[in-house]
Amino acid sequence: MVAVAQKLAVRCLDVDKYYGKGNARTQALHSCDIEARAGELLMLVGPSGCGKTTLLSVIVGILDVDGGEVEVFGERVDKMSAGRKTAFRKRMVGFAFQQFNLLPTLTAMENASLPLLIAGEPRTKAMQRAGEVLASMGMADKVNKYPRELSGGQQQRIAFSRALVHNPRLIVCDEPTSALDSKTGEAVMQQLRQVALREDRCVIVVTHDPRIFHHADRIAQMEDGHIVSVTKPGDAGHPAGIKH
Amino acid sequence: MTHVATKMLIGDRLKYIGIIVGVTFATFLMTQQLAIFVGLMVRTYSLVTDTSEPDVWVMDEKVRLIDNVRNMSSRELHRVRAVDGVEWAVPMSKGMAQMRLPNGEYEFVSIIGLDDQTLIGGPPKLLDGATIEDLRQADAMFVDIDNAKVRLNNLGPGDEVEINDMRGRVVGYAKITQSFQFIPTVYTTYTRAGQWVPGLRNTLSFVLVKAKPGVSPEELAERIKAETGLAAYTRSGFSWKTLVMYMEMTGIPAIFGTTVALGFLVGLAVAGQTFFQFMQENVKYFGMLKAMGASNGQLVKMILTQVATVGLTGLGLGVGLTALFEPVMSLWVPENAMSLKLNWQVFTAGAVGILIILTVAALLGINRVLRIEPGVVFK
Repeated sequence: MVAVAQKLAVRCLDVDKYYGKGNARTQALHSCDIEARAGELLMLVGPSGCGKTTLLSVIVGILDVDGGEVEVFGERVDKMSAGRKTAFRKRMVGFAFQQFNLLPTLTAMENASLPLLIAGEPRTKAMQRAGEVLASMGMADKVNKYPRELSGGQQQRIAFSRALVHNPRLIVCDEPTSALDSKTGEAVMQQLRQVALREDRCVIVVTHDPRIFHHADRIAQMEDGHIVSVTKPGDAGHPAGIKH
Repeated sequence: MTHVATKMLIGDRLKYIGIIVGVTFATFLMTQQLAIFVGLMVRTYSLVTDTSEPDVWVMDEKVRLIDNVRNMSSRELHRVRAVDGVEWAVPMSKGMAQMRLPNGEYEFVSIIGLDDQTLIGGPPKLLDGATIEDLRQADAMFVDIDNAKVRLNNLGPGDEVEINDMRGRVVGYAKITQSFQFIPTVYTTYTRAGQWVPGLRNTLSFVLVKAKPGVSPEELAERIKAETGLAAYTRSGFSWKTLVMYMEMTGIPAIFGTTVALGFLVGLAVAGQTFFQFMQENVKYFGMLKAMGASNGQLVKMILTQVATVGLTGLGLGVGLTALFEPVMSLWVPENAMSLKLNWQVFTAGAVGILIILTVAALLGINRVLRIEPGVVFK
């Protein structure tokens, strides 16, 4: 799907982020400027330690910025208090974590329903909605299975379902295919684009897996805390066009 | 989210069982030792407990506890009767004697002599159709059934014994509260007790007094003290005095207190440490929930749910084991040797101990969770 909506979903302007204090202080992000639009899948790529996850964390308000502005669908995340950031994430953001992070003691449906339960939805309603989303991911027959009974790909689908169940505007995925083989990784990314992308929603994927670069509408390359390039498929230097 | 909290806890079977075992063991140890302690201490004033008719016990002013009797002249009975507010006053004698059993063996027994006329002060329950009037038969006595079977070679109705070369005849079994010293108890008349135990002749151990309607026992006790110079206590006052004296004179509070404290500390260590470990292992999941927008309040509520689940389960199992302890042990140990008293006070004390343990565990967990950075999920 080619993103057609031009509405700005995410805007980072001159964002700095430091870790540590005194002599141990290191700069993780250097004056980062990046935009993501509604209806597109943006990938943040780069080697380990380049700042991809840090940038993702400041976008969703998990980490505070030390300078610059962060805006998500018109809301200034950098100006929010801790409580407002928590509420913001509950309402606006869907997460798919590396290694899935599914609770091993909950079934697929229970895991997928978590964002709704956090939002205070009644359990019955939350489970029903989770079941619908799981079905859209082709997991209708696995709703009562525990993560240990499922393959990596199936677990990732549960993670995506959890990211989508509460209808967030921003979906963030951290290394969604790192634990998957090529075929499975390809399949889940296809499903992600199919189910997750909408005109009013933005998907940001942090990855260093070149096998999935071709799924991105745009790729932002990072290195040592800097955004070095932002390219579309077909652009010179676009990572999807480079053989790895 | 309480459902999620419960499933997080119970889903990790091994850890859950570990915490439950720790809390159960701590509860069992604390409540069982407390129950035994209370059961033993209650026995110190068993005679007062079993003698329900009088409101006030009068005795020589030097008496410190019920088993350490100093006999008074029988004239004191009349002085007590003369005090305004006394409905009735009867004598009771209490002494020790050596009893020769039918098989030739000897055993020390405690002899309680009841007023010849009224027989007030008798045992709380007589068995197999016996009545208090049976004591009016020649040489009659009741013997407490539990000790009769264990200590007196199954002495029973119809059997004859010798007490200080005088004949005694068992006319019935009495069911009584066992004494602290586990000595068999025999009930007979005041006169007969004086014949069996020479030291009791023409003397009184106690005067049992009933207050007139409208006169409080406390007021009457004070009046008797003032007018006679004797010691006078209400039932509860004499029970408490005896209890305190035993606690001061023996090492029982220290011994049981040590065990209860150990149980508490063991429970604290096991439950607290296991629960904390559970929190540590679930840190990334709590971090994930935080990242997804769960508030600190929601996370704290989850931890409290987990603590409450563990607490109620462990407390219930621990108290249940304590309640089962006596019936199970009585399969091997004579019933009269068991002294467990699981009353609401013991249950409450055990519950408070567990509450403290789990509060510490909860605070450790809450502190850990509140310090979690949601960014931990990205590591």
